[in-house]
Amino acid sequence: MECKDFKDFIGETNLSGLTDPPDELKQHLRKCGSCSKEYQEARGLGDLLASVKTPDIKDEYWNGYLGGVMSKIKNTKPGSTLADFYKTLLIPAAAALLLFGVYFSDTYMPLVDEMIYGDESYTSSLDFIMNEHSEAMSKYLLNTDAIFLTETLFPDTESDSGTDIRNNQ
Amino acid sequence: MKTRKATKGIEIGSSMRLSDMSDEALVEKTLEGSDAAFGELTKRYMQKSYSIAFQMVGDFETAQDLSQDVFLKIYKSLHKFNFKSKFFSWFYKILMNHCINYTRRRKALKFLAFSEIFQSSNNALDKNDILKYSDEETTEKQRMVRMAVDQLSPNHKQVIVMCDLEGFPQEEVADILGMAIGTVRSRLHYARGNLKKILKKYLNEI
Repeated sequence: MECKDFKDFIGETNLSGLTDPPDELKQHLRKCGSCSKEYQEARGLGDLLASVKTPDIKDEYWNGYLGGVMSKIKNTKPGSTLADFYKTLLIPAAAALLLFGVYFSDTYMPLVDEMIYGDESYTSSLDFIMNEHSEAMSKYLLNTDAIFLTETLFPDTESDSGTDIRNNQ
Repeated sequence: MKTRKATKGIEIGSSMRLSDMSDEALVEKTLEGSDAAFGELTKRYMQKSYSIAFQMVGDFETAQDLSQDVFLKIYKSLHKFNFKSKFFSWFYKILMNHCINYTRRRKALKFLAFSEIFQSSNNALDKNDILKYSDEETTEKQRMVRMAVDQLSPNHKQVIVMCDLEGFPQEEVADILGMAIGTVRSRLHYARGNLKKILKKYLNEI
């Protein structure tokens, strides 16, 4: 065995496997001081690591351990994924949101309209527009005259060309 | 003995005992709905997984929690096991990743001075209740060795734990960690070198 072979042997062997080296290794270590030193260091490290191995555990502990694992998986299906977890939350959440939306629109939207438009007769903003500007809207619908609509809703507005819109009819 | 082909082509004897089945056959049975099959898998791996977790984190209670959590993770992820690799490789890979993630979180929180979160609670597992032999006072030397192992980087720690502490053959460790055997040996070489340096500082030995 050469020094290179010794180093390969050390690298390929777990430290616990150095306690009983093969004969050819022993022969090399008798002749090579540096390899012998390296071997002793590796043996020393192996002995130190062996001193901190996991202590032996009582047999009865393992029954409790197994019971702990089985109770953890009790309410789980094998192969369940995060997607399944979200699905179980998503459907009830979507249903709750839908119900809330319906309740909110039926109960609160009329109150919102009242706050905005100040008149209980207006149940929607569309009603407001239609009632306030009904004359203008019906004329618009009859004449399809956008200029007339602009004039009615915004009587003081001038066109982009700077001339009075009314004068352009 | 009548047998039937399972969905993954694994032979499962109808009258075979669970203890006689391969790991892969037990996975198959678990996916079919047999919790007893998963119980058998747990029995096979619980001691080794507990031991590895203990070596990675250093205390009994955390090792118990981590290793039990891994079994729950495995149970939930069984549908992802592709049967192309060995079950034990897949299992230990998940276990090592789980332990490494825990140690990283613990180091980060210690840095942020939240170390009390990781101290044992008053209801901590009493090691005298679980150890076979009476717990002798841990020597200063043993404490130093454990601290030295804890100071290694996650990559070095995992090869030291699996090869030199738990005795896994290096070829198996390469398979578990999904790397070439040369990479395992290289990491082991540097890990041992770092460990020697740390221990020389603490113990003035080796």
